[in-house]
Amino acid sequence: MTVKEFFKGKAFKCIAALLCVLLISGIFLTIMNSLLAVTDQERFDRAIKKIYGKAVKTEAVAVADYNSNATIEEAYKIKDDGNYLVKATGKGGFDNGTVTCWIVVKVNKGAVGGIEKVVIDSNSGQSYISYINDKFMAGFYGEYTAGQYFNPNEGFIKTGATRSATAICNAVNAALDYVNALFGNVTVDIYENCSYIENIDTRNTSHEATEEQVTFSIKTKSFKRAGEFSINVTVDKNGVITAYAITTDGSTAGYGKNIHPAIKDGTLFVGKNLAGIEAILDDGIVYPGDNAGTEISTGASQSNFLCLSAAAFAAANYEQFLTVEETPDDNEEGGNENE
Amino acid sequence: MNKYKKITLDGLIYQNPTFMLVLGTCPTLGLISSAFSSMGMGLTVLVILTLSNVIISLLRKLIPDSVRIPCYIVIIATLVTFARMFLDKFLPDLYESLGGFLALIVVNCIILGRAEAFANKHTVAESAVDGIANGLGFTVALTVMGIICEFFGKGSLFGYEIMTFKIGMLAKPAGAFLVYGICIAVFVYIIDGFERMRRVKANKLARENLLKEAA
Amino acid sequence: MDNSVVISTPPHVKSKRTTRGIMIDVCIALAPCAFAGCVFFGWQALLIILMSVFSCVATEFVYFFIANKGFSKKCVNAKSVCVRWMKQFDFTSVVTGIILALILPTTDKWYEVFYEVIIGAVFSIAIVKMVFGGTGKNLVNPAAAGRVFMAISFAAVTTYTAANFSALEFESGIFTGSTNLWWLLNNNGGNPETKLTVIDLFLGTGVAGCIGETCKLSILVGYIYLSVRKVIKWWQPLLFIAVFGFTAVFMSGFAFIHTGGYIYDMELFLPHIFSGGVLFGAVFMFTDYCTSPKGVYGQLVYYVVAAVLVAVLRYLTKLEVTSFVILLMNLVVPLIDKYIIARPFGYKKIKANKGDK
Repeated sequence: MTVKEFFKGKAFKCIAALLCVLLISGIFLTIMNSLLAVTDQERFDRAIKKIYGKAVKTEAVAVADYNSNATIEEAYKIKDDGNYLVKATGKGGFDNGTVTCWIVVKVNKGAVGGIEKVVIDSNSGQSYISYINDKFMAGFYGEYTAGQYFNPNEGFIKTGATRSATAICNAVNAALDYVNALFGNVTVDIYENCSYIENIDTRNTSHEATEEQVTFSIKTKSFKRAGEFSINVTVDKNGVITAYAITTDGSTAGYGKNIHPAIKDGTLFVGKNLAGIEAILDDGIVYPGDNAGTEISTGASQSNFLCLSAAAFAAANYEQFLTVEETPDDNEEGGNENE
Repeated sequence: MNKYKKITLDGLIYQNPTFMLVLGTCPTLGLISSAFSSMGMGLTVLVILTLSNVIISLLRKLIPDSVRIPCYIVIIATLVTFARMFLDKFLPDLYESLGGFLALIVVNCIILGRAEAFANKHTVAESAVDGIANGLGFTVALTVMGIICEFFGKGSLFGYEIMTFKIGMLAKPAGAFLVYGICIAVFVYIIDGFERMRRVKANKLARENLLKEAA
Repeated sequence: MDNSVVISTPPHVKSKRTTRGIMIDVCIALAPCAFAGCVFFGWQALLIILMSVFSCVATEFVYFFIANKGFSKKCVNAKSVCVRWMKQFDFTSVVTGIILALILPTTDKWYEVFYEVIIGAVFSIAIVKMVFGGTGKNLVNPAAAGRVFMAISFAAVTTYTAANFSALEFESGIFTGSTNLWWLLNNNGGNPETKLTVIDLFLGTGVAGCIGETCKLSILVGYIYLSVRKVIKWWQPLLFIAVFGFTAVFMSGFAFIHTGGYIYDMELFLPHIFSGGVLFGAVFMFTDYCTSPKGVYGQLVYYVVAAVLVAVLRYLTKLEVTSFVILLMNLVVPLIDKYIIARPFGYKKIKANKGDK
């Protein structure tokens, strides 16, 4: 086959036609692509519009974390009304998953005025997320007083997806912390580096200290069915609990009577140091299960466990809060082990 | 004129791509849970189908037979890509609700089928009418099923909540199968009824003519 | 049924047993369950059962009427069509109706469940049974399909206590706000007086489940009746239950792994088989003739695979999956029948003669 024959032949015609079609399509699409390209800014505005409900101008703000329960991913100041739009990922969801939300924080006269809107962006492994509805989200909206936090166990959060709701709650709280910090109101969590704080509501816990002893006013988180307890625990400088009193009984109605009697009056803990408290349960301060046959399995084991956690918290962390004159003994159990 | 009427009727009813030929079922089953997205899908296909029919009919003498399928695919893919860009720019809501099904129009058998079966043998005008008729047939079928599915499955119409009663299954692809099947049955039943009526009428006319002749 | 001459291919089975007779037997076997349901849940349960049966029969009649051209030519055939329907009526739709009602939970808002029952009944009769050709030609169990349809469509139907199996897993940080069975069984929130026992589960006095599934005793009565009347083979439900129980115990052992090692706790055996609809499904739904394999070997495979599936899926999804598995297994039956061929009637294995050749 000569070159001439090839150019006259069918094969060439086919190749030429195909190449022509491809070329024209390619040129057409290139032109159209540059004409119809959607810029990143446009895409972002669209996303914002979807969350905010109307088109607004925004300005990115540097992110920082002030709350260990959630991570701030992105934050924007909305130029039109001064509100903040925060994207936060709350921890502590179902199966240790997370929920990422967009949160609109309203600003009133240079201070946080409340939550205006919460929209779920994504989640990891939250199989019950569909139970979270607008009615639930509306529980966050409204006026805000300084220092207020949303508690994952408040009534409105009982949705059938308690854990996912907790994660959302954490995200909202973190957003509040973050915006508060932007206005200079940094909330410092002095108990952040303490041990055994899993069940302690560190924001509502306080202490008074002398050289001799530390008296904690501990507020616990709720644990499964058991609600929050307020407990005053006094620890002397040797790490021994000298006084233990439950001021608010958070146990679910009807189960209070099942609380371990020695916990109710504190005699189980008084006179023990951290090692003694850890020895009450076989595995240390780990919830053994509802019916595990341990000392706290009295029919209100969840409440018992919270009381135990509070005692452990106090006994483990008294040291850093003692009013110090000399350098304290170097590391005993607990203490600053996280640092 | 009769020719165009026949093409239109074929596309809309007698060879309705959805109900009679059962083509393009993938977007049908995937999208009819919402009337808005199914109608958007139908209209997008309508535009792409008409354009591809016209272009292919224009090029029918230039494209050699042996490479016609790759050429058609390239043309259709170009049009679909263009449609994606267009929708992304101007109708982002629709673009989002169609999702992956928008790109899948490339392999929608209605479009390639009409190009192969019709546009490469007919004039530009005929192909354009055929494209519009088939596209309309597809759009109407999808919208009707979308309305049924959305009304019963979500209790709303085009996104507006109407009632609280809902049969959740119909808003899922499994329920869409059910609605699709029932719609085909009803459609075929109606068409058959018309056919029968026409035949009876024709027979009667023929008999009368015969009688007249005999008299 | 009627004495007209029937022409059919062999084998010609001569027996007094008719479809109608068998179905009436099944109805009788279901009666204790229905009765127990009415005792536990009151007149609402009765209303749901009646409504379901009525909808099923009515749907079948309407479908038959239309399909047999009862409406054409200004209804001149109406009477003869009705007579024909009466003649062929074999109580299968009544059985479907009762089963469908018995595998539904009752709620206080019975009127909401009401239209759901009607829709489910219409679906199971018209689309699952009649479209495929009526009695004996349906691919899947109509009641199970109806139940699954309702479960997907109406969330309320599936969210009830007995269907929650997050339960049989020990503390694992999973706590979703709904009652869990394990918790009820162990201490009922630290209140030993209201603690559930296996006997409670067996008699249905503790946990509210579906209408017919709550009292396992009544299911056993139905099972014994069906076995004695030889409507079902006695070993079929037993095989299913046994395999299910062991697999379920085996699976729930994995829940202990993070608290220190795998535990095979046979104490969970009875709670597992007495919770939810496993027992009911095993006796009344898996044994359906036209949706289970024909040969004994096929049936063995069918029940074992179904039991393992129910146990494993229950553990993984934490939902009541029995009806879904029934549906799934029904669809596999043609395949089982194809590869595990029943011994043809009168067939004898020919002994290979070694002396030949």
